[in-house]
Amino acid sequence: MKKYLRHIKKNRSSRWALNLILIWVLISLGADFIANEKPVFIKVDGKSSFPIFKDYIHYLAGRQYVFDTRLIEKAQKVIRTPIPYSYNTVDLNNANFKSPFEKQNLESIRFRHWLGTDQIGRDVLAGLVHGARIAAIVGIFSMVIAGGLGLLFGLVAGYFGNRDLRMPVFYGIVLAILSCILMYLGYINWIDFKAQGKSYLGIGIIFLIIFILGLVVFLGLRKLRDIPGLRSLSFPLDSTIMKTIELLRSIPRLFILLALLPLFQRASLINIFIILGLISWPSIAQLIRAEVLKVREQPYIQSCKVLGIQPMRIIFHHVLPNSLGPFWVVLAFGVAGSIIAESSLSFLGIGIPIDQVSWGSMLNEARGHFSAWWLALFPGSALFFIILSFNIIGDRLREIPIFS
Amino acid sequence: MSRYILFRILNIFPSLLIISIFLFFMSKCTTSDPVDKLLGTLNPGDELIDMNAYAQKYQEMAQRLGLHKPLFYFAIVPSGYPDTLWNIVNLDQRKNYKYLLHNFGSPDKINIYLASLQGFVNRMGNTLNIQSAQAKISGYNLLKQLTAGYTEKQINGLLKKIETSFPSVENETAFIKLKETSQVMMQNSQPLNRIPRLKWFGKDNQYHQWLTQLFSANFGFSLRDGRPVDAKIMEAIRWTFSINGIAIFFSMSISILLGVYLGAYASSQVDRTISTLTYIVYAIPLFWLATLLVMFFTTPEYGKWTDLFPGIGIVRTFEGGDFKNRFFDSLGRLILPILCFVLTLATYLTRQMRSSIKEELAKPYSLLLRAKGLSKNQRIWKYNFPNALFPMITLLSVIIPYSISGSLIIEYIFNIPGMGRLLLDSILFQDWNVVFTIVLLIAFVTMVSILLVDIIYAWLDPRIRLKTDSF
Repeated sequence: MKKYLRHIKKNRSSRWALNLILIWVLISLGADFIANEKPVFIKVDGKSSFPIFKDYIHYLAGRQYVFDTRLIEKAQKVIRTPIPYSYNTVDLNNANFKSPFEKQNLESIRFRHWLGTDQIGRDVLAGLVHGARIAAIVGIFSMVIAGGLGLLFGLVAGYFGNRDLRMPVFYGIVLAILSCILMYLGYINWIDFKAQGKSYLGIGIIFLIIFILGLVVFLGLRKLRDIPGLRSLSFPLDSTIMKTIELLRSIPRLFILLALLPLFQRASLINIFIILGLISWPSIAQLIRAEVLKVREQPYIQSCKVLGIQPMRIIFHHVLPNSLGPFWVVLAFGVAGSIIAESSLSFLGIGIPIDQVSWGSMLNEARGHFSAWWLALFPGSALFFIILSFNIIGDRLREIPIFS
Repeated sequence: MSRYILFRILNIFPSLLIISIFLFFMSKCTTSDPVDKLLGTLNPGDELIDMNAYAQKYQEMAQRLGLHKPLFYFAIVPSGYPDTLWNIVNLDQRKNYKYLLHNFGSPDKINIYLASLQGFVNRMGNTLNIQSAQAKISGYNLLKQLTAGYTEKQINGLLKKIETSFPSVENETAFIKLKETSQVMMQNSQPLNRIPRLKWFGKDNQYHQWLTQLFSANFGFSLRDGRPVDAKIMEAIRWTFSINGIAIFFSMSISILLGVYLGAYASSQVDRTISTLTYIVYAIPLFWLATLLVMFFTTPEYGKWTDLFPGIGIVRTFEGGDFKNRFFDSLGRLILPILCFVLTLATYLTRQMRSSIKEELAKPYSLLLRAKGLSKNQRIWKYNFPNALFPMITLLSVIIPYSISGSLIIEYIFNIPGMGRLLLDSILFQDWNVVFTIVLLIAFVTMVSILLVDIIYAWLDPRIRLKTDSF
């Protein structure tokens, strides 16, 4: 890993790209301490408190914390964040598209909207900071899901192919019936729990038990698998996975998202990155599969097989490390793709909760008001620089021989 | 070759079938009630008439749409479920019925309870009409909660609440009957028979009906204005196709010429400048580019010279004319959208073409061509260019899905009444018939384009078709 980082840092533009990504991640981690209407520290009537930390604690406990902003005027001592606005703070004095250069209606320069405001007086800079966080959440988490799935499917499809996953017919049938029964049980239990109006904890426990039971049965069957005399059949794993990839590829990603997201009753960021992760693994899986096909013909894998090492061990200990090169390249481009997908969605006003502000939703607001150039320019260029950085990093990584 | 084509074409059908099943079940997961919506569009103001007549109309419409049928060819359900479960059209009601079954077991008693509940709701509606507005609202709320209630606690609590807030109902026969039947249902509850049973419904199901209608080009009705879906799509698809076609044609021709030039003179000053430029433009999100262009070049907001293009949108006055007239009338308005498209597509394609030509030039046969003494133009256009075009053909299968999703955003920004715009409007109106038909159509178009690319590739490159001919 260190070697790759050194390679990236050698080039000036990719060094800058890396720095930019680092800054972006830092901003999104500390977004609450950069732009917030709540102060970091406040002392009122001799009592001191830390409202932002309080907010975190309340959030973890599942409650809403309301901070009375009028307290700030009464406070003896107050430490505020660099931008004294949250992304959703409405500044009525500066509503209706105040330009960054315009004279603003303020108490002091400390409260200036450096990048202007939108129609209802929300600060653009605070929105940018919050948008960075949303982009980071969607971009990184969706790629964690997609990367995991792509790696797993690519590895097993490439390694087992259509012939190497063999199982006696009898056990295959038993396994299929068992999994059907388990699925049926899960479904019935789910309805039972919903009908009785009980919590979801019960369902979770039942599913866990079902899962453990299934695992035990599966492992037990594996021990019995090599009994001689039973006719064995191979499972066409490679074709199945490739067919799934073909299906997923046949509908453009944006359309799957557009058709799926409105089906959820409550819009949430989690839906977006989970669905994005579930539909963007094909390209990663295809690349890993191609790499595994090359690696599995190597002599050391053949000798592993001859030594009788378990297939899962071969896959994860010997095949995986040697076919991981291109993975990082697609991952870099994948994060950029996810960010574009999320911002296009919020640009179209679908999927993201209405009270959230992201780069895409700010751009959408600019669409209705042509004179507000700051609403289009700043979020768009933030988006552009992040995407450019990921493209540069991806291209730079591709120059390493084992990565391409 | 013919065998290869046949194999590939046959291969497309299972995929389409799976996608159609997937989309069908997704369309059944939607939250809004299609019958309610369609009734609301066909005769607005209908909800104001009394509940009985509306329920009758609802049932009739549901029968006409075939929504009273089971969803799929078969279902694996607990044996305790009665066959009449699938006759309940409203999905919320069906869910409620299922929960009642799971809680109290016996379908007969539940049916009696539901019938008396229906009777009470009708009776109560008449009583509430003469009450004050506030009592009316709270009464209807209670009734709504009661019809959606499924646990013993909920039903008992609600009955008590109705009794206390409307003392006059106590002596009404409908209420007494409801109380009786609910007690009977709840006290004689028995466990539901949960042993799975395979129910075979045969061809008389909703999926089969939907599929056969698809094959006879009947896509159902739009829930928004009651027009047939295919008419709406045909109207919109022409805009999308013409814009995409023009954009792809221009970007292809520009990028092939530019890419060959850049590849042939790689690492010259011109190449370095244009390559950096394309690299930068490639990272600009399409919707940002379009927003900026619209913002800075269609209005006189930023000085006189910025008002270069007419404003966005296909003007409404042309709506009466036929597509051809409207298209040529609004050609000026299409310049900017097409420009956006060409910019993003051409940068991508130019980069691909450049690297493809560069690769060909590095191959040994190019050295041989040089040694033979051919001029640079001759070498490149006669020998390297056809070879370099191969990867470009595969790119078509990337470009077509890309441009379809791109046109969604372009149509949204520039207000063009194309397919993307129709899709977005339908999503916002929850007009699921149109949404899922469009998605299915797009899947079909993408699959066919990938198939065509594969066939062209196999036709040009004998290695592929010989490899696949062997089986």
